[in-house]
Amino acid sequence: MTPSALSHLPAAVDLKLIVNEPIDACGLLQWAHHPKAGGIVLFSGEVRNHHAQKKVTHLEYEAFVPMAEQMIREITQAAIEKWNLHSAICVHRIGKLDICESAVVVVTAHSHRKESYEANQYIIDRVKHEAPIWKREFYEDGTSFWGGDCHCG
Amino acid sequence: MKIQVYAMLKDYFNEEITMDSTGIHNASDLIVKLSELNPDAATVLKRCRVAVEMKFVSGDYKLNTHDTISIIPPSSGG
Repeated sequence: MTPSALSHLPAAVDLKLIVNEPIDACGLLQWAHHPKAGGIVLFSGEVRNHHAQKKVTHLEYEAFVPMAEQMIREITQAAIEKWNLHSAICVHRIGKLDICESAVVVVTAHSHRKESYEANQYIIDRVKHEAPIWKREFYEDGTSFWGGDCHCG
Repeated sequence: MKIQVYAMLKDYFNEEITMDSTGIHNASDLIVKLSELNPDAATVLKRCRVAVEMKFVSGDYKLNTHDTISIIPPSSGG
């Protein structure tokens, strides 16, 4: 993320993009407000309680943190340039997550909603498929599984 | 050479592996050597990518013994 794209947000370049603690989605939405933005989209990828007919108890995420942060910055910057976004950010959590907690939050702000939606989906799709972040699902029967189906299409 | 592994690969290897670099000329060679070291990991390794200094490299990328090498399993973030 370049300072120019986030010039109204002086602290933005210092934000951690991989975090161990719960993601403050409302705080990120607040962070993304921009006087030129008429449409802001916030996506929260959350822990669901089922997968492939098995009951999920919790997830654990692991990342190669410096590389993942670098890739998320590059992907977000690519979206800012592609859609001329006023602001954009993606934060991913690692560690143990319980049901209903946010694993990843993406916020995109543009003058119009269409571009905000498109850019938001672009960022989450690329982060899911490309960034070195891994999910392990834990099931009620005591088993666990690395990875998971992606329904990006 | 030192190699860092992540996620499901830690079910098969220590988190950091020190290997003799003899016969390992490029990233593809490294995957083959790791598969020989632990054949149970071969299926997973076939789906992994190699990163050097936090950048993905192709199979023919020439590895140096002092490179920071990571074996990156398929991503499953989000």
